[in-house]
Amino acid sequence: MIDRRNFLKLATIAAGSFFIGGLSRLSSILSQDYPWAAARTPEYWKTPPPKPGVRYGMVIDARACIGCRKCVYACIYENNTGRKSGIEYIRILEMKHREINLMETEHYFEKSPDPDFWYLPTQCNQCENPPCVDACPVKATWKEPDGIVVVDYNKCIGCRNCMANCPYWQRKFNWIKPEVPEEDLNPKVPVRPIGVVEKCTFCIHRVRDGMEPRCVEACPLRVRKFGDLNDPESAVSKLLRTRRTFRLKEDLGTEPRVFYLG
Amino acid sequence: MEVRNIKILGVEFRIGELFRASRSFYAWIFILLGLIAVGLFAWSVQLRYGLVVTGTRNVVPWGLYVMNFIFFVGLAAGGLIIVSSVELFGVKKLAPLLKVGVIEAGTCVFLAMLFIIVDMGHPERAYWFILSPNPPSVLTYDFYILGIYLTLCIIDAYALFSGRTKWMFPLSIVSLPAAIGIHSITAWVFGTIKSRPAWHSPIMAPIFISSAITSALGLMILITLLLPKVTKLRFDREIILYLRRILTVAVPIDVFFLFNELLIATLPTSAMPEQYTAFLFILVERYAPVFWAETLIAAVIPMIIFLHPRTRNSIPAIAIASFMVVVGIFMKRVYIIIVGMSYSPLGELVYYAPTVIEIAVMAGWIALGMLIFTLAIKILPMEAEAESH
Repeated sequence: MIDRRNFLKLATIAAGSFFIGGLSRLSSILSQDYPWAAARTPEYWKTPPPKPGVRYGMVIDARACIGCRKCVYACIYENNTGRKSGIEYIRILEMKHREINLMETEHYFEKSPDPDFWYLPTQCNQCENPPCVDACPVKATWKEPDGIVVVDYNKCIGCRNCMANCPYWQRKFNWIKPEVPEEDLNPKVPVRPIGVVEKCTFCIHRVRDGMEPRCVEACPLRVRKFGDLNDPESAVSKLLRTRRTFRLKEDLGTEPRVFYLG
Repeated sequence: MEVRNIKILGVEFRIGELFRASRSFYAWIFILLGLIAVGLFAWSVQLRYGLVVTGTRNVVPWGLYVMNFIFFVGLAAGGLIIVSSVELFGVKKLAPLLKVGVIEAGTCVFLAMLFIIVDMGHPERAYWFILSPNPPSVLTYDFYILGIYLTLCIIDAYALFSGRTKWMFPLSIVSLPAAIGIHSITAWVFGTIKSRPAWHSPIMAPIFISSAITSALGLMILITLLLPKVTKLRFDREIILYLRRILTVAVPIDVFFLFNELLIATLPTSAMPEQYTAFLFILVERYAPVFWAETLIAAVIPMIIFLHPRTRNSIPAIAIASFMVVVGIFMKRVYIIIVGMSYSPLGELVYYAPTVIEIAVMAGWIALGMLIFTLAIKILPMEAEAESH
């Protein structure tokens, strides 16, 4: 028979061990996977540095896109995206002819090109007025001087407010720890930690070195054109001068820098 | 062994009560500790494997944790609104509820914080809220108002339990705006998202506040009915009837605000396609049972009970209605999150359902809240000031 005092002792010991056990387990996991970070500068967005006076933009000839998803896979390999993370920086939308209705899209089409549909490649629009940057409560994401919106993976608290605020659904969260095979690792791109948001960077590590983003290079039909919008002689500037273009959800005032030929 | 009561800064802590409690009290504490352990374990699983163990994904990035967050922010806000109305509007009838109300508000805002902590991918980086706050982001202000609100609850509780009744009036002047503020700011986190048309609405803050007051009144009625059964505290029947009267006004206001939203979202002349699709999802499609059950149990049935002459003064009926209101407002929080999230801005539809881990964490945190509340009621001098005068 347990009397009250013994019961009380037992309860206290049990309660204490519950808490101490639980808390020590939590703290060990915290210190193991998430080292406490002092104020760190994200060196990975500084090398190579942005070129002054440059404003990057992309023009996509959506009429010619066949929905082969070569760009999607090239992007995953280029950017060290976790192979099992379910993250793609590019999403190709299959839509009915005669309409651009973003509520009536097929994301998981299997056969392409299908003559009954047309294909719209979407990725981060690198907005001039990015709602995601304003939504971040801790300034963990910002617009670089050359217009590319980047995320500090060592600062992101993982609240996912930027994902809710992106009108183009172009921010993805690392729900699991990204796994990239050692031999496929791209040394120029940091592998993201678990629990942070990431997004398309216009292949910032390539374009600042004068190369094109990987998706532009990977497209078999050369549907994508990339360049400096401030330079009147660049391919994109010429296209924007001579052809009719549209942008997605222009009514939201985000001023995307991904243009579509229409 | 006799454990003496201790007095810190004029507040009496009746520690001895803990050692003189009944066996059922210890059993209750034990159950709560068990649930908390389950919750902590579930959270440790989530920290190890990532938020993939929850039902949230890229299309529906916020789930059960955020639903609980806004639910408990609502209960917390409603708690202090009731408390400060005693001083500011002279509702002396509710004075015996002051202490309970403050403890309820403090516990609930603490729970809201816990739910945000588990929702974050990197809770250990929360110090960036202080080191580099981003002024355009509503979420920044939400962090600060939660902190301010918890501090206010603690100061309020200190004033009440140390007998500094003179503090209560100036404190109420601050507490009421803070209570309105905590819930408005939380509502604006959703209402200011232009990329989610179903949320992007000026009625968000009014709906959140009317739901907050409704659920908090329901919870206060339940607490006022439950405490006399398990403690020596006694409350006047009049208090419950008075709370019921306020609830009879609060529920229709809540319904009216929601009706505004639904009308704008669905009437052919005003419906915007994205908003319309999102609302159809909760009105007639997968989540329709949640919506219509909520309407039934948080509005229709309670209103019948509150208005029918045979049930309006019956304590058991009021208890049932209050319970329905609290559960119903939780369901309202569920579909308010669902309506904004289910369709991604690119038209992809994902059905969100919470996982066992999420539910375990939720159970653990709610048990922790109940533990804090139980212990506070047990060791703090809860007798109303009015009796001691």
